[in-house]
Amino acid sequence: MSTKKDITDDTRSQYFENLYRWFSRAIRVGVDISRSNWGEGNISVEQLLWSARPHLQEIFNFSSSAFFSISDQDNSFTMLSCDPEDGRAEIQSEVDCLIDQGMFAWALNQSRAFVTPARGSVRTLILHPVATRSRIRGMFVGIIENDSIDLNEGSLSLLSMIMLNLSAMLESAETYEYVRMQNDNLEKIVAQRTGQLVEARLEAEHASRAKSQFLANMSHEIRTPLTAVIGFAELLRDNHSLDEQQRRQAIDTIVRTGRHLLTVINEILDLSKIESDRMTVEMIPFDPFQTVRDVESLVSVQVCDKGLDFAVDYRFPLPLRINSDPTRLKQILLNLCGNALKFTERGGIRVMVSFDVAQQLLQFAITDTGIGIAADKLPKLFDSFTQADNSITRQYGGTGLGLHICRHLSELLGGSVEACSTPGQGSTFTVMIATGAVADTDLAFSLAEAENRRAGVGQDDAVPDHVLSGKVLLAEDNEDIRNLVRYYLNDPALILDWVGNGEQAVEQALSGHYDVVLMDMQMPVMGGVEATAWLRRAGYAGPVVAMTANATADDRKQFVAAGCDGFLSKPIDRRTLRRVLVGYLAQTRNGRDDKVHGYLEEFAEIRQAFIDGLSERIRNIQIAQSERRWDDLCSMAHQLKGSAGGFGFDVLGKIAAQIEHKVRRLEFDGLDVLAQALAAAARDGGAAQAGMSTGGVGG
Amino acid sequence: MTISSLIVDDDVSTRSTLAAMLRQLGYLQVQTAGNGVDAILKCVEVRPDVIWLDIEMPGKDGFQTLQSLRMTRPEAFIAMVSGHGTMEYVKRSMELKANGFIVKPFSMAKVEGILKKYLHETGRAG
Repeated sequence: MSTKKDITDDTRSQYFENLYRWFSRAIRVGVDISRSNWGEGNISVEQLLWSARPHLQEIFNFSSSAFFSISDQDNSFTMLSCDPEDGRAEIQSEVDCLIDQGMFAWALNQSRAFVTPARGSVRTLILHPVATRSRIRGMFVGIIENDSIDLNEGSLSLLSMIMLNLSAMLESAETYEYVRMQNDNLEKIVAQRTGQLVEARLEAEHASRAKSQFLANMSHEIRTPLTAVIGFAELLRDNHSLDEQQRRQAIDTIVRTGRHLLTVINEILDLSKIESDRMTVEMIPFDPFQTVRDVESLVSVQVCDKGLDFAVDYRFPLPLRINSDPTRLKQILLNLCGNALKFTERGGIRVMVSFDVAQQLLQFAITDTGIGIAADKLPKLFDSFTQADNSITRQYGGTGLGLHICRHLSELLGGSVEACSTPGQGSTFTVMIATGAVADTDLAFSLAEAENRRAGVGQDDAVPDHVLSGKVLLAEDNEDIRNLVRYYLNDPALILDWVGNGEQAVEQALSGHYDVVLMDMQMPVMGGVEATAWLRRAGYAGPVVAMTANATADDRKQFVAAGCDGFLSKPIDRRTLRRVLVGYLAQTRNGRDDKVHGYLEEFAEIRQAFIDGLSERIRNIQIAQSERRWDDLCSMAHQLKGSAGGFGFDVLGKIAAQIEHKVRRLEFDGLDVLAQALAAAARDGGAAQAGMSTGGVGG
Repeated sequence: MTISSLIVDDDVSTRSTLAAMLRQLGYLQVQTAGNGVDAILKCVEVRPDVIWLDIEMPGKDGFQTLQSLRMTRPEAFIAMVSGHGTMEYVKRSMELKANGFIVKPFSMAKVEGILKKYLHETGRAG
């Protein structure tokens, strides 16, 4: 504070009055700056300084002033604004000089004004950092003419106050902006999440409704046929006055609705397999023409009943043989044809078969002239629980699962299924399946060629379906397969015996007289490989045909090493089975017939000798029994047992065995009765033998 | 090709049946024995190619005879003959190094099977 020595009271009071005015003004400026309404939004340091500058000028009367920002990366200083604009160079040169001297950096770390004479000493530089506790934002630099203002303690404190205030405002504005931004973000996120939640809830509600609807449909689908089944069954039970035609009608209805129920339940089972990822398909070579023909024969009957047309349109070239799952392919085609049939009242159904040689995909397009499907219903058509319209379920029936199952099956078969439709005109469902590698030589180029070549294939493995005869031993633990083989081999002169495991197979093959043994490879107790090996060790020379599913080349080598002569893969096909058997049965029969002839004559003599000596042997046994010569009795019974069966006296042999058995166990009661029974058995056996032209040991 | 056989069985009708079959097949050198001891003696005497050995014989049974024969003639081809075609008998026979097993009453095909195996194993086939 500069004063003068010779001040009078007047000048003193004048001085204090000036001082008071200055302070009043300074405080007003401070308040004005604090009051400034910066509005909302992001404000910059320059904007703030620009607004504060008139107030600052009132106090300091800067000839020029500027603001330097500090870079976060390299701590360099950049002049952001300058007032007036032509003071820029001067301030920059002053600041450069201070930076060089290190004074600028030092001033930056002070929380108060730094005052230094400018170069040339006519002016004074005032530096003040713009900073809060959290961070330094920059530096305010002003130049004052030396005599223009009284730079006292008060004015510098005021500057500090203004600068701190500005920094605080700046920070609060920034914080405000940040909070506002976060708030905006949050609001956006909340809106977005709420939207998703609503969507998810709607979807869940829809799924739940669909599931409930599905259960209701299922309930309906199952109850309706059950009503018919139970109703007609009760009618049959209680009403005895029904005539034959009424009974027939009732039974037909029960069978038909029972079959329908089976379809419904199978579809539900398929669905549950799909949903738990347990659906599997097999890959075996088969003739696709046969599959189409099977489908055609099943569908065409119903198509005719409804007065519609049915046509299969082959687009050649087509493969004669593909690798896929014939059962599942048939299921898909039957389902799609069934749908076409269900929704078509006039016109007809056409199946177009084509082959994509490049991608090795076999394509079936099933086109109908039915009611069609609205475009907006198409995308959801293949979802589970969905029919295009629930009212359709009520009108046309069905589980709404068929297409869902079709889609999954076609995907499992390496393909796809899709639909297109024009409402009122009809729909086309196109299913594609992978065929595996198809060689060019396996392609047919016309229907005639396909028929010829298929017939050729047939002749090659054809069984001129003549009647087979001979004895076959089937070793198979699965009763269904036993029944199936029995059904396939129902020729009157063909005797089929069966056993359920490998050990029994060995015993039966050794004891019996079989032209061929069909040996399942996977059996309990003893498998087919081991059983075959035992038979070969025992010198059994008859043919053994191995039966198995999924046999690899290595497996087959193992079968051959064990002594198998042939191989049948499961599932067993009737034609293949008979083709394999006809070879063995024919060869075995011819070979034996030639050799047996001379032997039979000799055998007849031996047998006659046995019969001639029989009464005496029996008498000797009876005597041994009555004289209680147990050793002799046992020995004689044993010998008789061994030979009687061989000459066709089965009952006699069994009685002799019983006698031997009892004596060995020292059970002597009842032996007399058995000894007497021998005579009767000899008579009966002799009578039976007399009627036989051949037989006995030769089997 | 001749194959000499020794048929060992206590039942005369089995012996004669098998002998007739072998003759029918063209193998005329057939000897017979009625019990195990006889069989061992005959075997030393005639050195048959194939021995048909009944299991259920009084006295020395087929298994015991088999063991004895294996000691005197380890190279002999011995086919067991039995009225019981059980797995137990088959396994026991093979354990005692029998070469074949047929079940009474047997067919020509079974007898041929044993002879085929003999020819195959002695390298006399073809």
